[in-house]
Amino acid sequence: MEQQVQLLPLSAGDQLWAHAIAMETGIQVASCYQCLRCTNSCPVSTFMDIKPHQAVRLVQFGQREKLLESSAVWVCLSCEMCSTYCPNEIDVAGLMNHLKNSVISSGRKPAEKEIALFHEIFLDVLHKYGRINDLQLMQRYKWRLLTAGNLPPLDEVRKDVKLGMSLFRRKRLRLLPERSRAVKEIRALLHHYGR
Amino acid sequence: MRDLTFYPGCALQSMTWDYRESISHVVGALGLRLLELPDWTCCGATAAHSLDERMAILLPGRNLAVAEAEGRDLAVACPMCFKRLSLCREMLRQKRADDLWSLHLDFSVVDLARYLSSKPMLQKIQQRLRFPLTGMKVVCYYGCQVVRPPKITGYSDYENPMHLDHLVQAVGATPLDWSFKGTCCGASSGIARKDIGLTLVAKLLTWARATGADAMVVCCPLCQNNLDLLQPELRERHGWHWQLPIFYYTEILGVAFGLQAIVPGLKSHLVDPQPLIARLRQISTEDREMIASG
Repeated sequence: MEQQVQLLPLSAGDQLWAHAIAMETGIQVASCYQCLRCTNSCPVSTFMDIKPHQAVRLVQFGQREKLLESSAVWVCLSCEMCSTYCPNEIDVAGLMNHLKNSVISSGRKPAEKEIALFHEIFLDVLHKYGRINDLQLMQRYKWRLLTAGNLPPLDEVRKDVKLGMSLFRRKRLRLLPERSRAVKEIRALLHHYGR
Repeated sequence: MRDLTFYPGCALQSMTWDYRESISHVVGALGLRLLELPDWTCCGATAAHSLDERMAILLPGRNLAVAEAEGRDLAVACPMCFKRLSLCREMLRQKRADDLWSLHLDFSVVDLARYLSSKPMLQKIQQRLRFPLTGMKVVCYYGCQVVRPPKITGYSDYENPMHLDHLVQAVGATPLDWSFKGTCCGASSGIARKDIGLTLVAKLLTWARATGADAMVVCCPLCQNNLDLLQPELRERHGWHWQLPIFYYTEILGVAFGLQAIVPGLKSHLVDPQPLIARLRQISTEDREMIASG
């Protein structure tokens, strides 16, 4: 059954929002006629509070707050099934991505804290070394979760340690992160453009 | 044979060194030279475009600039990197992003798997064959990044890609038809939302098995990790009494070429693919003996 989505009152800015998205990204939500091909092709739609076709509809309706608070935009895997199969060539995955960016740039709290944190730590490691080291990424991520007060169940910890050990034995966890010689150049570039 | 610049990507430098090793031995055996892109950096993967779309241009853009200076086509082994670099190249070409490097973009970004499955390369592969993998039934799994969106990746057969199928066929294995070639494995959600990762991987593995495959063949380090590393937990959860080896296409080629150098890489998989290989070798030796004895 299709779930009902309660609409919020609109401000003038909200009403112009779809237009602003079209100007900025070229994504024309107005051409959506709700055929549901995006949602039906989505491998994670069952995990979403707002389904892809509903997200497009909500942009048409200017429901900015609703979307920026949703966990769906974070659950989206950018696998591009939706965009590929949309008969009207609406880049639904691009829309989800644009929404994620808007959550961050507007300083809101992401609805899926752990997913956003994972991305953030990824960029931290990238910023430090220029390349990603899996061990660094996982350690920093787990540590941040822990210090934020998310105590994982003992069973989870046991599983992680067991997996970590077997990966270590297989030399798949490199203790020394590899640094790109271009890391300074990267930092300057990112700094210059506001990160 | 032309040389290519090679962009390994971070995954191949750390966790999935087995993929990288198998690539280097297999392309060596085929007489192909891959020259590593100097001072390459991460392509930004999913994180960059999720949090800050500008970074998704800056990071691959700088790598493209270095590649252009090298003056050769750029071969990429990781589908995620391939997609990010191709997308950035396209954005710059269409002038939809600031080009800080004044690029000419007179070189191609090449998906290594597709390059190896071109007709002349397939012929070379068949010539190099030592141990045909006759009797090995596999499903080829392409994942999402390398085929979609077709406008960026240039794949016209994105509904039913075939290049990995052609590669495994060239070494005597049987690729089975199945419906999940391009269905997402859950990517990095295996870490931050394990429930999603486990659900998607379980679906892929059970369908691969139901199709009758002895193994899965992949081209993406992230897919390989998800499909291989989550198996012990899935076995425990669902009481599976089976497991499925997950090979890179380059490992399949390496086995068929009889390259001993790829064995340490194979040993690093969580689901050990060696019993399957040993079984196949035994069968093919028996076959040979039978033929010899008339």
